[in-house]
Amino acid sequence: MQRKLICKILPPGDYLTRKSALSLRQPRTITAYGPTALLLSWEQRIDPAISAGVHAYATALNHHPAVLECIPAYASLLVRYAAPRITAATLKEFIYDLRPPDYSPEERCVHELPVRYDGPDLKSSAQQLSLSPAALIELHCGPDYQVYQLGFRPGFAFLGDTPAALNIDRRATPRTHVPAGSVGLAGRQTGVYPADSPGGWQLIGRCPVPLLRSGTDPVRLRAGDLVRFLAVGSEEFIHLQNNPPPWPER
Amino acid sequence: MAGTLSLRCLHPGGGAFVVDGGRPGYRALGVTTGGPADARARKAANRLLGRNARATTLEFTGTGGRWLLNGSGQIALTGADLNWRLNGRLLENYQTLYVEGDGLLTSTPSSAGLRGYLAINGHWHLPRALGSAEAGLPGVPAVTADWSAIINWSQESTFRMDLDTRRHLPSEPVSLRVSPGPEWDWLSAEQKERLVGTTYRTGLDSNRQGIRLESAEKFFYDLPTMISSPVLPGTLQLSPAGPILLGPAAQTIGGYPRVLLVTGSDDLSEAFQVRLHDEIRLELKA
Repeated sequence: MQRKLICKILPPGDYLTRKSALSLRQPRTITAYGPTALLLSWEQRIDPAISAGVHAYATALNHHPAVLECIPAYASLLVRYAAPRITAATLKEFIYDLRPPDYSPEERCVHELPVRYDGPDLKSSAQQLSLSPAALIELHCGPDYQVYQLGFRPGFAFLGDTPAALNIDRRATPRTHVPAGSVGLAGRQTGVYPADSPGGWQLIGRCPVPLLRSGTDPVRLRAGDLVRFLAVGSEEFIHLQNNPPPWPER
Repeated sequence: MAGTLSLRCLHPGGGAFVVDGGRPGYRALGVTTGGPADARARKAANRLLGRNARATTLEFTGTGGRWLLNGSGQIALTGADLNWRLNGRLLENYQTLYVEGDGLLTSTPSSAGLRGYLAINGHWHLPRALGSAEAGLPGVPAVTADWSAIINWSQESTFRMDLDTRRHLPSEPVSLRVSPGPEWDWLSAEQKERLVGTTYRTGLDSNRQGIRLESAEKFFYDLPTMISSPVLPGTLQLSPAGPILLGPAAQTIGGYPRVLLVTGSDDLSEAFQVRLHDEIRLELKA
C-alpha cells in the first residue's frame, strides 16, 4: 500500500519543449501599471503556449538588475522595477528587444498529488456534468496539469486545463469556509486549497499532501510546474497524511 | 541600560495585526506584500522611538482592545485617535511614553481616523516566515486573545513628540488622486465621468484587503469578462458590487477590470484612515 509519489525535477528540455516546439509567444502590449510597474499582456486566452511565453519572459526579466519581481498570470506578466534605477521607457525598450530563449525551463517540477475523492460537491458535480462519480474521477486524474499561476491565497495554484467534459461553473454561493487540502473545480481549472479559506469552487476531494509549510521555502507548487492527481482510498489517505512526500528541492 | 517589555493581548479590539516590512518579492507565489495600511502613521510611530521606518508594530482597526504590558520600556501611539489609557490614565498620541511595571492598556472606539499604531522600542521576538512576522503563512499566528510578544531593548531612545498630529487623520471629505489603470479605456466617456464624479461611502466589508466604495447609484457596466491578471495595492477594481480599492493584504491576482490607480502613498494612507460609512471622492489627475 505504500506508494512512492513522484516529486522530481525533470532535466532541461525534457517535457514541454517537445510538446510545444512553437515559436515563442510575445506580449502584444506593454503598458504602465502605476509609476513602478509595467504590465505585459498577451492574447487574452488560457493556452499552454501563451503561458509558456509568459514564463519565458518572467524568467528572462528576473535576471535584469533593475527588476524587483515578475508576477506571472495566465496571459499577462506584471514587472515591478526599481524606479530611480530605470525608467519605464528604457525598460519597455529593453523588453521590446528581448528575445527570450524558447521555453525550456531548467527546472520543471512534476508533482503527483494523491486525492481522496469524497468532496461534498462530487455527486452534485457529476450529476450536473451527466457523468458517474467514477467517470468524473477518471477524467480528473487523466491529464498532466500545468500550473498557470499562483494567486488568490499564498500557494494557491491555478491548474489547467481540465478535460472539456469537466467544465463546470463555480458554486452560486461561495462557501465561507473551505478546509485546507480541498480539491476544487471551476470552469476548466482545478486546484487545491493550501489553507483554510473562503472559496467558491466545486469541491470534489481532499489532498493529504501539505502545499504550505513554515520556513524559508513555504510554497510547494510554482507557476510552470506540472501536477497529476492520483485517486487514493481512505487508508492510504491517512498514511500519506502521516507520511507526506518530501518537499521538492529547487 | 537594557530591559524587557512583554505585551499580551486580552482583546484585539476591532482587529489587531502585526505589521512590519511585509513580504515584498513573493507575489509570484501568491504571497501578498502586506505592510501597514497607513504607512505614514506607522512610520511616525517608529520614528518617535528612533526605530527603522519598517520595524515591527501593531496595527489596530476602529478600536484598540485591551492589552497587558509588563516590564519596562518605551512606547509610541500614532494614527487614529483610539483614546488609549494606561491603567485608566489617558495617553498622548504622537510622543514617547515610558512604561514601568504592570500596565493595562485600553482603548475605546476611535474618535477620529480608523487605524492606530503601537510601536515599542526594541526587538520583538515573534515567529517569522519569509522574513516577516505578519500573519498569513504557516507558523505565524494571527493576533487574537492570548497572543503575546516579548520585546528586548538595549538602548533607550530620547524623548520625542510630534505637534502636527492632524497630518495622519483624514481630511474631510477625503479626496483621492487617481490615474488611469490598465482597463480604464474599457469604459465609455460617460462611464468614466460617472465613476470619478460619484461620492462614495466606505462599505462595512472594508478591511486590509480592500475598501469597498459604495454609492446609492449602482454601476451597470456591460464590460467584457477578464482573464485574471496581477493586481497591486492601490488599484481600484470595478466589481459588479461596485469599486474596490485594494489594500496591503489584497490578493495578488484578480479578475475585475483595474480601472483606476491611487499611486500616491499618502493618498492611500489617508484612504485607509476613513471610517466606515464616511465619504471618499476621487479626483482624476490630468
